[in-house]
Amino acid sequence: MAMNKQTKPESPIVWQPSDVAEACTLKQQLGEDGVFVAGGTLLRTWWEAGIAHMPSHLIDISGIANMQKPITLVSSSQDRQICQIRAAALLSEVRNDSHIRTHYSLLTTAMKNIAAPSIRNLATLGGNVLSRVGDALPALLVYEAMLLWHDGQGEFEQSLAEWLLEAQVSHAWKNRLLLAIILPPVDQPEQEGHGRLDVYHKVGRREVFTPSITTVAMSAAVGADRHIVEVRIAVGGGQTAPKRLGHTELLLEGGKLDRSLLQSCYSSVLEHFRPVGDVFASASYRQKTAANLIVSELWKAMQPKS
Amino acid sequence: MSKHEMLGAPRGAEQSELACTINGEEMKLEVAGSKRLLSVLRDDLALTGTKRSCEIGRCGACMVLVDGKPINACLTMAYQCAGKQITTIEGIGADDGGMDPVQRAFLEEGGFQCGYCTPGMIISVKALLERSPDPSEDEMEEALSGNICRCTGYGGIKRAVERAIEWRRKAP
Repeated sequence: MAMNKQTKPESPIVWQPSDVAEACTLKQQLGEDGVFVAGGTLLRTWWEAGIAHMPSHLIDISGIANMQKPITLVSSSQDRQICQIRAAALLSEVRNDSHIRTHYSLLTTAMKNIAAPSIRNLATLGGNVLSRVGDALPALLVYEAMLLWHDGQGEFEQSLAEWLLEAQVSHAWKNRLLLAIILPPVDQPEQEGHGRLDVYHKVGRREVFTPSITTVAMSAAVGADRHIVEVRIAVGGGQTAPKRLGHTELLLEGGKLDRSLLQSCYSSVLEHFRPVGDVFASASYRQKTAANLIVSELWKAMQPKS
Repeated sequence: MSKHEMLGAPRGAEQSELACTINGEEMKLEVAGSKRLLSVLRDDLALTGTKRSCEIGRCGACMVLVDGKPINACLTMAYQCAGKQITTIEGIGADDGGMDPVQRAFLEEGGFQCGYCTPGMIISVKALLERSPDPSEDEMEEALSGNICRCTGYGGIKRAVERAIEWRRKAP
């Protein structure tokens, strides 16, 4: 039991801007003393654990008018729908959304595997993304999600994959406000007879409500002749920044699923996935877990349909 | 631009007015906006049925209902409760002062040992049955995935949930 926490000073000033411009102005004025917050669940655990110091000011973005509708569908030029999820959307709202369940099932599965229902009623998708190690990220990478930012001057879009790379070398993104996560339309299989292979696995040390050791998201189309196309694979878990396995995707793309291809795939994952180990699970263990998860799903996909 | 602290208060002022409803009673409390709901309930209002334990959202001992949904009071800040309806274990019982069927089911089925996790468990089950009166086993497991018991194992707790479901089904 954590004792005597009630004596710890905990009195940041909470600012509640009514629009994005006010929020950005506040951030510019407060600098590092001010932190954007929505659900605040991850920040609170960091403060309690001493991983991050409590800032002097919290800038609450959950009351911003155009942050309040969690999920919006926008028609693209080809009459297909782009899904825009506000950064302040609760994980429970994302999990229960019927459009996301139908078109972005990996994200729905990811939501079910993040924390517990009570936390998902408070935590937001934006917070999960900005943690840089959240379990939504592999699913969002597979869907080639974009991030919509406001930097105080105006809005701009950036691919999630690009931002994850940027965040490894720069903290500049902390001065801008994440407005939304944008999911492009999902292409349906072009060739008749192709079935979808959509899988999301999170392996932890408990069955539920557990930090991830390894998280894998994979999407592909597999034909009756076992040829695999449109392959997208993303891996993460623990303190590893999630990433797409481009080399492995290229190896698989257009190939015919057989023992030889699966062996090559296994080796490719081991070669290109560089996880961060800790005292509970080594980097090597996490690599093998990812490789096993991916190859076992491909093996299942190559079995004759009964 | 609105600051959660009282307008005109000096920079760094900690107190602000939190208006919300707790166990059916409208309240206006002078608290820091970033104070945890857990501290407000236990330290300011002496509602000690909501338990302090892990304090990082892991154990579920501090579970309360906010607008009918289960929330960890240790992760929730006071300003996030403005205008909300909060129900703690003290507010779960029947209007006549008797126990809620979920509470009675835990008692009769031995769904507790030391009792420390029990308020949080009951809150989570209450939320589940309000949302899904006849939940599947998967729904039950997911609903209680954020509540940890280190005494009983979960057999008695599961029996208690099943008993509560049965009573609700038979209720007129």
